[in-house]
Amino acid sequence: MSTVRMNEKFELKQHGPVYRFFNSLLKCPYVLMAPALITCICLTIFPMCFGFYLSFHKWDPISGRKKFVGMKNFEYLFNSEDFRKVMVNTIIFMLVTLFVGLFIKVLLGIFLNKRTPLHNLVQTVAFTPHIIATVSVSVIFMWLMDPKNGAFNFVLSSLGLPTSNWLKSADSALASLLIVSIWQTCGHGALLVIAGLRSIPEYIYEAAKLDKSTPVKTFTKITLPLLSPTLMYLIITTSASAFTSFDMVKMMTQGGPDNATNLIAYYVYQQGLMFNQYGRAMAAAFILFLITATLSCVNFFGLDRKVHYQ
Amino acid sequence: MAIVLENIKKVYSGSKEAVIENLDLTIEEGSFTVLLGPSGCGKTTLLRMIAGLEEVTGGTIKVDDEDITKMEPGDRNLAMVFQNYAIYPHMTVRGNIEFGLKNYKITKEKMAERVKTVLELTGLQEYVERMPNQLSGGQRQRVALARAISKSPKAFLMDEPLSNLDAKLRNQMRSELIQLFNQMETTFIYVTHDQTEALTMATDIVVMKDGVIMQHGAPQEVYRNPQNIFVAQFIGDPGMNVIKTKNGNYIGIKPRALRPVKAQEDSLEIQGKVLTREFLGVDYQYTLEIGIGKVVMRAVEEIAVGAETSLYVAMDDVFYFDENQNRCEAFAIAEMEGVYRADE
Repeated sequence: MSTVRMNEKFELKQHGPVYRFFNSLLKCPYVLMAPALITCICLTIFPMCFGFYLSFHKWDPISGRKKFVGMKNFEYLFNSEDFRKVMVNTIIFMLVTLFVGLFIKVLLGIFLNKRTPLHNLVQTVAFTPHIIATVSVSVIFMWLMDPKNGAFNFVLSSLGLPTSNWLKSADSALASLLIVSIWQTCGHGALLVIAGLRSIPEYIYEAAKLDKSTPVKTFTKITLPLLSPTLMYLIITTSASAFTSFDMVKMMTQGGPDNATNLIAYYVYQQGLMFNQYGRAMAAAFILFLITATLSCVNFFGLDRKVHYQ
Repeated sequence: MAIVLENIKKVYSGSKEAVIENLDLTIEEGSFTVLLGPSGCGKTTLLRMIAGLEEVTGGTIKVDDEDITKMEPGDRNLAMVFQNYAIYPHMTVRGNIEFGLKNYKITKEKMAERVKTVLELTGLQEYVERMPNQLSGGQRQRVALARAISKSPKAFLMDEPLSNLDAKLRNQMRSELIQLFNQMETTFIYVTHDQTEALTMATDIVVMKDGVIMQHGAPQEVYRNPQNIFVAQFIGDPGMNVIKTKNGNYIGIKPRALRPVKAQEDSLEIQGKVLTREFLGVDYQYTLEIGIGKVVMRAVEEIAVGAETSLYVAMDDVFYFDENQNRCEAFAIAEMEGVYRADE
C-alpha cells in the first residue's frame, strides 16, 4: 500500500489492486445477494423444480432408471382410495387444530394474562411442550394412551368412565393424535395471545368502561379486533403446520390403523422411502404444495383486509 | 350539580403509604375546576376516583347528593378525556363516537342527530369515516372530545388532555376548550401540572401537594393571594422569591415586583449581583445573587451580567409567611445583610 501525502496533517490511504477489485465487486448488488440467492436456488428452488419434474416420471433411485409416464402418477393418486382418505384425514386434522386449537389458545391466553408469580409459572409450564422434541412427546403419549397399562385409561376406569382404545382403534386414533397435537402447541399459542393482549393499552379498556361497555361487548368489539394480527399469525402457521405434520404420525401410528391417521406429509414419505415410488410421492408432494400455497394466499389476502394493524 | 368529595382516602394495593390521606373538596356546578400540582401529588388519582377507574379506599363521592362511590364507571354519567386520547384505533371517527352511544340505548334518529351536532362542534365533519391513524394529534384529541361531548355527561373529566400536543396546537386547543366550556354550561374537571393552562382556563383552581389541597380558589385569588409558600412558588412564571429571615419566618417577593429602580418611597432595598440574563422579548429575566441566596427578577431594564445593583420592592408588594410556611400578618423584617428598608 502506498500513501499519498496531502499535506503535513492528513495522509490519505490508497488501497492495493486486490482490495480495489473486491471493493468494486461489492458495489454490484448481485454479488451482495449471491450467498442468499445461491442457498435459495440450491436448497429450495432446484429441489422444488426437480420434484415437479419427477412427478411426471417413474423413478427408481437405486437402479437410476427413470421413465416418463405423463400424468399417470396423478391419475393413480386421484383414483386411489388411500390417497382420498389421507386428504380427508389431513383436512379434518387442519380444521380441528385450527378452530379447536385457536379457541383453546385464546382462552388459555386470557386466563393466563396476569402478572402474578403463579401465572408466570403456569405460563412457563404451558410453554414447555413447545420446546420438547415431538419424538419425546410422542413416546410419552404412547405410554399414557396405552389401552391396557396407560394412565389415561387407568384414570377413566377409576372414575367409572368408559375407556378408549386411543391410538389402537381406527375410530379414536385421529382424535388421539389431535389431542397430542393441540396439547403440544397450545402453550406456545397462548403465549403469543398473551403478548397480543398486553400490546392493547389499558386506557382503551378504561375508555370502554366509561362508555358503559359490557365485558362481552368489550371482548368482541375491542379485544378481538385488536388481537387480530396475532390471531392472523396463528391461523396461517397452524393451518400450514397441519399439512406438514409428520413426526408425530411416524412415531405414534405410522399412519394406521387402517390409514386412519395417515396425513399427507407421511403419505409422501411412505410412497417414496417405503414403497420406493418416488414419482407418486413427488406428485403427492406437488398437490400438497399447491394446497398450502393456495391456503397461505387465501389467509394472507383474504384475512388481511379484516385485520387491524395498530 | 356539585361534586362533593368527603374524607377521601386512597391507598394503592400493595403499597403501605396513602397517596391521599384525608381530602375534602366541593366542585361547584358549572365550574371549570383545575386540579393543579406537581407529578405525584394525587391529582390524577383523584380524577380517576371520580371517574370510577380507581377504587376509593375511604370516604364518599357524591354527585347531586347521590352517593356514587361504589358505582360502575359507565353508570356515573361522566365523560373522560385521556392524556393519550384513548380512542379506539380500529374504529372510524363515527365508530368511536357511536360505540358509547349505542350502550346508552337511545334511538337511532337521536343518535344520528347527536353525532352530527358533536361533529359540527368539534369541526370533524370531513373526517367522519377516517381511521384514527389517518388523523393528526390535534384531530385525535378532538375525536376524544367529541366522544365525551356526545354522551352529554354531568361533568367532563380531563386528564392532561393537551400534554401530548405541540406548543402551538396546545394554545389553540386551550382557547377551543374555553369556548366549549362556555357553550356546554357543564362542570369541567381538568387535571394538569401546567400552571399556565390552569390560570388561563379555570374558574376554580385546586392546588395540590402530596395528596393535600394547598389552596382552592379563583385563578386571580390563587395568583395574587397565595396562602402558603408552596402555592406562591408553584404559581407564576417564574414563581415567587422566598427569603428566610433571621427569625425563622419568610418573606416573599414576586419576580415582577422586584425593580432595579426605586419607584415607591416605602421600599425594601436589596443588594445583588447579576448572575444570568435571559432575553424574553418583552423583558429580561435576571438571576441575582443577594448574599443570602438567589432571587429572580423580571424587568425591562437592561443590566449587564456581573454588575452590582440595588433592587427595590415596594413594602406593599412583600408577602409574609410564618415559620410553618403559611401566609401571615405583616411582621417587622429582621435585619439581614444586604436587605434594608430604603427610607431608613
